[in-house]
Amino acid sequence: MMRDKDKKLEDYSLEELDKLIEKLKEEVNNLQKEVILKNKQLAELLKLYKTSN
Amino acid sequence: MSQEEINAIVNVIIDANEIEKIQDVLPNKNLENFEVIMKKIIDKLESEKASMIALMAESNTSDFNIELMNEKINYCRNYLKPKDLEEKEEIDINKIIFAESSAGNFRIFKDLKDNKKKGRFSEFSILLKDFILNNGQLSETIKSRSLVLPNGNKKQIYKIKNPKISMQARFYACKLPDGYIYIFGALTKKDENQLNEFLKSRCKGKNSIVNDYVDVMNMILKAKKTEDYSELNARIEKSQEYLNEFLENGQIDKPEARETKDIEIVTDNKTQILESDIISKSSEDVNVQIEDMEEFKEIELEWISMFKLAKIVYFKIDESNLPKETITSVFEWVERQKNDAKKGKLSLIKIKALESIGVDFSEVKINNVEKEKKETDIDILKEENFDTEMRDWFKKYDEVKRYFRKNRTINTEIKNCTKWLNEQRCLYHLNLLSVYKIKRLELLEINWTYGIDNNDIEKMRKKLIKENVINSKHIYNRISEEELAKNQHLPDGITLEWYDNFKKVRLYYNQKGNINTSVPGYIRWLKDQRVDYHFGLLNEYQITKLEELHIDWNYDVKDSILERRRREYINKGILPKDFPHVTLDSSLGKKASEEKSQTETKAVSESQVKEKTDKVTNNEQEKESLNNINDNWNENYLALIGYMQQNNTKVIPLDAKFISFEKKLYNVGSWFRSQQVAYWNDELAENKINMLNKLEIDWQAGLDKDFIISSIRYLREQPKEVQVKNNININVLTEDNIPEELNTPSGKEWVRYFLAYKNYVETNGTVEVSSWCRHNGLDIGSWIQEQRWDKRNNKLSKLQIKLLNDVGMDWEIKNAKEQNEIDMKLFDLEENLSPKETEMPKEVQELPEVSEITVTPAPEPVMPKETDTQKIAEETGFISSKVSDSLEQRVLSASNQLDELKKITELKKEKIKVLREILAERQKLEEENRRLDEQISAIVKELGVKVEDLGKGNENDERQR
Repeated sequence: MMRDKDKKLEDYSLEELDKLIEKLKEEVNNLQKEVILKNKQLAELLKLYKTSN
Repeated sequence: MSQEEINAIVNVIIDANEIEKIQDVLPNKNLENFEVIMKKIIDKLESEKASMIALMAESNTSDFNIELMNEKINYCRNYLKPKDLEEKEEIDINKIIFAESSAGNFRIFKDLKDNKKKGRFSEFSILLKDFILNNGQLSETIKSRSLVLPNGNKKQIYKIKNPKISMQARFYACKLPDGYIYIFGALTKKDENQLNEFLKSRCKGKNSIVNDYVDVMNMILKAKKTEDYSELNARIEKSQEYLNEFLENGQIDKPEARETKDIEIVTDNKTQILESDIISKSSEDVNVQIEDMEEFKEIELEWISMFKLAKIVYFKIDESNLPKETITSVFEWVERQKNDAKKGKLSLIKIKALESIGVDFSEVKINNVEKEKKETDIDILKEENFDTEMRDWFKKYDEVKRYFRKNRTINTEIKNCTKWLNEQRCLYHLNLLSVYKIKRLELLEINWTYGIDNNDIEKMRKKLIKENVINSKHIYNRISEEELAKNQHLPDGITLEWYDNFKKVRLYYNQKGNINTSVPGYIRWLKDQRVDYHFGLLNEYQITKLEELHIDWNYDVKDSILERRRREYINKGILPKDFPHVTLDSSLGKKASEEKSQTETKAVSESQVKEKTDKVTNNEQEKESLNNINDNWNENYLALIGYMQQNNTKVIPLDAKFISFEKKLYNVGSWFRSQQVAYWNDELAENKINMLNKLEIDWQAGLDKDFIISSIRYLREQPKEVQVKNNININVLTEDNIPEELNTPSGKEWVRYFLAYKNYVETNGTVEVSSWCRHNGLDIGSWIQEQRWDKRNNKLSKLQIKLLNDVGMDWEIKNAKEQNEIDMKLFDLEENLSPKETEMPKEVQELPEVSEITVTPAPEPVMPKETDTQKIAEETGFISSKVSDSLEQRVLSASNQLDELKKITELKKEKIKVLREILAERQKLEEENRRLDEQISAIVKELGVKVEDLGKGNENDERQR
């Protein structure tokens, strides 16, 4: 079932909502990981920047 | 055209002293340079006018005729205008003159700015103004007729078709050359006369002008009727001047001037006031006599002048040109005279004089109560302008008003007033009641249809036509059947609402023959009736009425329901607090009706003594059996026989009626229907059935098949017969065993559908099919409807018809409404019965891409729509796949479903909330991510370091860790 663009959240069934929540949670987790990673990268880069200057 | 020629024309036109001459010298439109010439003329005229005004101001004279100049300019301007443009001329609201008329009251007025002062005109004028403003131009919304003026211009007489303006059905509008639009309502002959009198009363010594105006108005009216405008056209042009003069001098919006004028009239004895025109001859004679008497001449001048003023007020058709204060003072003065008369202070000649103009002294003399009444009259008179006819009206109105104050309604029998009120109601329907009167009566919450019917209106109409008040083409409204029904006199204790509901249920009963099923839309009401019955809350009338429909008082009612209702009713105060517990066995209604039936049977046994002469049947045996049954039934039975013999038929339609030799009317049809229903419900005594069987009547005729199939008798007797009959052909037929006739591709297809339908009927126990019905994977809903049409179009073979007949096919083609009813009825049933057939939501459907979801504003808590109900219920697996064929169970499960649904929606709401939070979180992270990306890329640019390396390094680090 492709998502109907006009379909509102209210139109989803309970199961569908559960699935959505799960999927979103996973995605948020990934994003959080990414952010942590990037923060680390940034810190290292800043270190490099300081040392190079 | 040479410049010289142009100048010549211009000069001639400017020099012309009379407008008519301009027309002679004006070139026609086809002339070249026409526009140039006209513009030149207008310019010259304008400059000449300006210099004239300047000269006049300097020399302080008025030698120059500015008016003529203006006319010339306008005349030329008109020539410049294309004709069609003129037709669409915008309407100047200030140039509209309204004339309102209703029986006996004609008024004309002009001012729209000062509506409030004009009493009832105001309503009319505001409405008309709105109408005109809203519609922009008269010509667009109003069917028009042209009025060709002598100068070739077309003028319109408009017939305003929109009756919403007021109760007046028609208005006529006419735009005259002076730019004023005259709008007048439906005029009767009486109105016309009054119009004349009114206009004459305005004359104040300028008879010729007003007469002319009156003539024109009459001509308009005449033209309106005969559609011959030639006379009018000729006259209109001539009258223009007079009209203008009249409008300047005779209009009503100069109160100060008027006041002085009126006083002049009164004090100046020589002025011929309105008597000759207005006062009827007899009263005029009296007047002359009294005023000629020596004694009269001796009366002090002050009194005489007041008397004359009173005379004007009492006789004038329209006093709107008298200031209100004057009228009030006159009535106060008259009242003082009356008081004086009571005390014996008023001389006989004065009393006589006052009586001659219509002041009633007998009332004052006789009793004091009447005086009080008069005072209230005066109160009203102070408020509103009124005329002589209105006084009588107000007398009655006041009486009715007092009744209203006491009893809060005037829609009952009121001593002395019922006739008058009914007259008003008839006049209202005849469109002859003025808006003003309507509003007044509506203040008293009048019901316009109470106590009268169309016959009364017709009578009144004929009477008025006879009296020449209206003509036979006069438009009037009849009372609709609905309204008539509403005003049926209901017995005490029966509300209109109850009766309305009852009527609807009765209608259903007449159609279907049974109300002990779910009556669409009235399940709740009927349940209420049943419960109320058990509580003894229904009165005798209600019980008998409902029992006429063979109501089953116990249907759908359980002891638990009664107990719940009992508490509810006690809370609401309908039942006393100590009201005992009621069960179906201890039903109060039952007791009451048992008592009733006991008395009834007594009455019957008494009446049985009376020997009934049988004029239709001579069968002795039948007579005997007749005597064993109650009289009422016998009479109806005989009437039925009478009807069948009279019409030589065995078909008894529902509306069949029979009139006996005693001139008694029997509703044979409905009685027979009740017998049929009783028969199927197994409520008809055996001897009655036997008697009716003798007449070879069709017990099934006209009854709902569903009802018969579910009836007690049918279930007891029919199945064997029907089953056997049905099985003969149908069971032989299978998809493998197809008769030759149908052994074609299309025939096979037909058989497939047929078998599906047969299976549907067998499993569901009904032949009715909803339009969306699918069974065994086939869309039999639309297939059945197809069959019906095919049969009508003779496309079905005999075999096909026979096969379908055997299943019990209902061949009647359903219209949308009927089909919808079936659909609604079968909705639960089909969904419950064949869960496999309905499209179940596929397990875990493909989920939408998360990224597509956007945060939408939090919704209002919404209850699932009806259509969602089923879906959600299915999702939760709530709907049992088992068939619950008793309605009770279904209702129960429905209410449970509803509770469950509420829970689900709550749950859903919570989930959505969580979802929104997560979505917000995600958005935040995404932003953070982007910000970091930007920072990193900025630093990377500076350093020229490869990020991938870094990232990899980092990842490696992580992994290592």
